[in-house]
Amino acid sequence: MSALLATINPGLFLIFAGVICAFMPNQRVRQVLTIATPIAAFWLLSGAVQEVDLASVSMMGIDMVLYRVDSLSFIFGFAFLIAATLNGIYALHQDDRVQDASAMIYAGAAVAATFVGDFMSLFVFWELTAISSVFLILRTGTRASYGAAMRYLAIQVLSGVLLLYGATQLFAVTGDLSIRSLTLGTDAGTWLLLFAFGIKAAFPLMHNWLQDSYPRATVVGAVVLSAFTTKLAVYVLARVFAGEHILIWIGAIMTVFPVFFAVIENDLRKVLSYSLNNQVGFMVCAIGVGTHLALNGAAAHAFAHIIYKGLLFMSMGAVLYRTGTTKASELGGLYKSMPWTTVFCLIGAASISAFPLFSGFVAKSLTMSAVLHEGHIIIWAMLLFASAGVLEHSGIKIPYFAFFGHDSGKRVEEAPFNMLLAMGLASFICIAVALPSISGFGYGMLYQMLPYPEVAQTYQPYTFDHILTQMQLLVLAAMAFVLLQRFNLYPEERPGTVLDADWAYRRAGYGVALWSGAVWSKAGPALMNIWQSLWHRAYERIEAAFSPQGVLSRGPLTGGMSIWVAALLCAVLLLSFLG
Amino acid sequence: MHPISKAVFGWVGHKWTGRIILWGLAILSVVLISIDLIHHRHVKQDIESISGFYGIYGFIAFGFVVLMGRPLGWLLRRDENYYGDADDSDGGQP
Repeated sequence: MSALLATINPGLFLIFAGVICAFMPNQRVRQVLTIATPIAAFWLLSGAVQEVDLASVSMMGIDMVLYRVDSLSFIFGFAFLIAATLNGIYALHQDDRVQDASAMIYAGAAVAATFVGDFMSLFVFWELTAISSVFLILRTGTRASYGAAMRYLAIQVLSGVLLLYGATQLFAVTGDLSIRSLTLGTDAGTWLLLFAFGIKAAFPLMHNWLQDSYPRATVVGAVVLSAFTTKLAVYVLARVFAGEHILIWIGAIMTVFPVFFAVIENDLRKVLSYSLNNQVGFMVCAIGVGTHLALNGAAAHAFAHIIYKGLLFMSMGAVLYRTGTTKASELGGLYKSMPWTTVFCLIGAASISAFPLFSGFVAKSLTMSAVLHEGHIIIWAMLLFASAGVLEHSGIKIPYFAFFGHDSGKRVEEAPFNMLLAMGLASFICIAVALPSISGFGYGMLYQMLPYPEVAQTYQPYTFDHILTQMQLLVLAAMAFVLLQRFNLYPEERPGTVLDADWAYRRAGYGVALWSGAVWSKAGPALMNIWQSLWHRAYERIEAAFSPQGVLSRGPLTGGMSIWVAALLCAVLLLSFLG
Repeated sequence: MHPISKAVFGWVGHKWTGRIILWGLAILSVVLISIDLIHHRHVKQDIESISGFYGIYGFIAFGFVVLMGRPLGWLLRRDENYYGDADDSDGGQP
């Protein structure tokens, strides 16, 4: 029995549990399933033999690898399972069958996608993440969430279609569908795959589905969504396109531009979405660098990020749940009534800002060192700039405007116990994997799970120089904040819609579609009329000439044609005799 | 006020808090840069070797990002119901 279980992709257990949740009216059973299944799946995963195809099938000449574990997939899968467990705890207070099922199937699809070994299986779970997760946005039940959910679904499915098209191109050229390291440009399929991954990773100009949909998801939904989709894309990029230099620039741009949007955005969950975008940029950049140190950085950053970003979304979810809003202009002073949420949010903020003793510090250091080591000075300067930006939007803006700042006068209840428990556990992980390594505890736990543990063992995040430089960056940036506040230079939080690249399809594209619809509704019938009258006239002319009553059939020489034909034949005969 | 808030964040509302944070950070900044002046750091690239480079860079970067907020807000911020789908509106895209 256990031998059989060891050959089943752990993601499938979650998907199966999710399907049961969809039909299970009893909330207690669902609560047990949503928490126990990821834990059981992890237990099975930890016993899996690595670097071996544990389950594979051959179908129509295509070899599909359904379960394969190695050090790269393990850390991503592990982080996904932790996130799924924490999300289960965070959702305990809500009796929502659809949400439970959606979250479970979505998490399962992401885990399953992490452990498959061929592009066809990846495609299946890639699309399942899109289809299952859309309900987390729809469940909000507003008109805005419906629109965002449809746009999200369309873009995510497009990513899947591109993946499938790229994979078939690849198969046609190489006859091999296994997920492996590819070189961009060897054939068109590789570019299609990069686009597919790029959409899901929210590359610049393909990013707006994220900021559009996550802030409109349910309280629990945004927490669940923040963990999986983009990090699955990061994992696949690391697997397929590690060392592709184009990713260095894409990643660096991705870290910088969301910073500016995060400053002017009023909705704090949207600020977190921009922040998510910026964090994934660090990972994409590290993947582009492609050295063992850099790939360790990408994996460590993804692990730490899944937890602290989840934590920040949880804290904003708690605020939304209690106050009904996450708009900075309507919040402030919540530390007075939600102290625990405040503390946990501050831990998330310190982690993402990479303060020493918090997880971002031990994770991001790897990437920064790798970029500097390879001599990419401009890129390094961009990442350093973005690090100061992270402190601005996630380190200071989120906790300051929600919990401190101008007192909104809102006095609400503290978040429900299960939410606090999930936030507490996430906070614990943020600190536990970041402490100086003492007898296996601390950052050593994280480093030994990285794709290249032997390289990670030689890296020391807690050197005097490193702590000094990081503290300089953070303390002086914080100093800038205090001075800007003191001199009233910090822009006031104002409600509004901030335009981004999605204007192209939400306003311009939608406008063009409406306009062409209106034009066609008038021009279409007019064109049909012209066509019909032309056709009618031509028919009448033809009929007038050739029909039995037509011009050619009338007059004395009805048989004239046959006489002419006979004369022509005679001429031809004569010519042939003479010749 | 929540009893935990009083215990953990009781200091926040104090009238001296703002000044203490400002001066605390100022002193810490001076200390961190002073250490950099006397301590020789191991650097991988020349630019890093400038004393206080990280601090100055962080300060300028942070200031730049925040100050860009005003012109960008003026340029990009529109009405909340710009796309016709603000939660309390009747209209909107399907």
